[in-house]
Amino acid sequence: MGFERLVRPSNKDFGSRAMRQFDKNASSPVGRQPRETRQLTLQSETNFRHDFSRIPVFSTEAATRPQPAAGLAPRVESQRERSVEMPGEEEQTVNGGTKTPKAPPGCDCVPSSVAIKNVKAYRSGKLYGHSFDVVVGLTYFAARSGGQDAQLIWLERTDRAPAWQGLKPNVWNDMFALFPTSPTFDGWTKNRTKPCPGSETATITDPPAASVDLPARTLEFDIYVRGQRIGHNAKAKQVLEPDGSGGVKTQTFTVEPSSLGPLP
Amino acid sequence: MTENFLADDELVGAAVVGATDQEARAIVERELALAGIDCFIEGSVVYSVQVRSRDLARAREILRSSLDLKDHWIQFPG
Repeated sequence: MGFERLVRPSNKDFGSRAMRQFDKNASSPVGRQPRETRQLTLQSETNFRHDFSRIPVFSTEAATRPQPAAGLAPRVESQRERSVEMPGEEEQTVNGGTKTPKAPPGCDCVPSSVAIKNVKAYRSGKLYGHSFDVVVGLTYFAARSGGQDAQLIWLERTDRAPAWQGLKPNVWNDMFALFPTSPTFDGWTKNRTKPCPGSETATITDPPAASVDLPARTLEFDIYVRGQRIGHNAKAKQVLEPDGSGGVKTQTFTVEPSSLGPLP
Repeated sequence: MTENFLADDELVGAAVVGATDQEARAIVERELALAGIDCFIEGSVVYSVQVRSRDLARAREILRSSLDLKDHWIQFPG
């Protein structure tokens, strides 16, 4: 089984891209004008739980490859600073045997885009946060043999981990691996029609939120959809901070630049 | 951390419900409130139902036996 790599471009290469921020008073994007690109700090000692603990992240080997991989666009190759090596499909087994969905027999599923859209701030009782959609463009092709579905990797990292045994702050966790049957993932696990040949859009809606009775929380998202040789990524950061009197002091959701890279 | 806040290290996870399932969240809040148990719900992808450690066993028993929750996605992580 060969590993594939998803390319993480450098943040400095996104200086010309507009970043969007959503504040607590808005149900639609505000600040559409280009903003100063926020520096994203990627820790070299990132850890994964369970099966993902063995995944080397930000491989220095990949980051220092001396020769461009064949077929890589110059723009992408010049941005090669970090990569994520993901396990093969047979290793995507979690929670005692739940596997990623299969593509239709004889078809390969290839992602064409991943984007975070429809960010809306909300407050419901003591809960406050945002709702957002992860919109994934997918195309299905006839496979030479077998067929392989795209893989969803939904990484989250927070400075205030929820009270589950084993979860630690400031450590990336693959929420799809931990909770593949969560209704949040129905748009990926249940609702796809998988036309083959053909294309469709999968939408996953997540409403990350915190309690006003608990301390401030920063939550980062790093979401990948991986096909056989194509990986797409979307990233975001949510900051929630109560005011200590049952209200909200900070409620922001920032969509950060997504990376796109063909795999060598 | 502001003094008014409950230190989250006083809390333990009793269950998780689907983050998009508002009905399940409402049921959890109602049934634990009826039992006099404070709960703190938050999360992403799944919402963690957090209670004080002294209430953990009782909260789990209530949620496990809830007929209103039997048709909802709910898990009890270790």
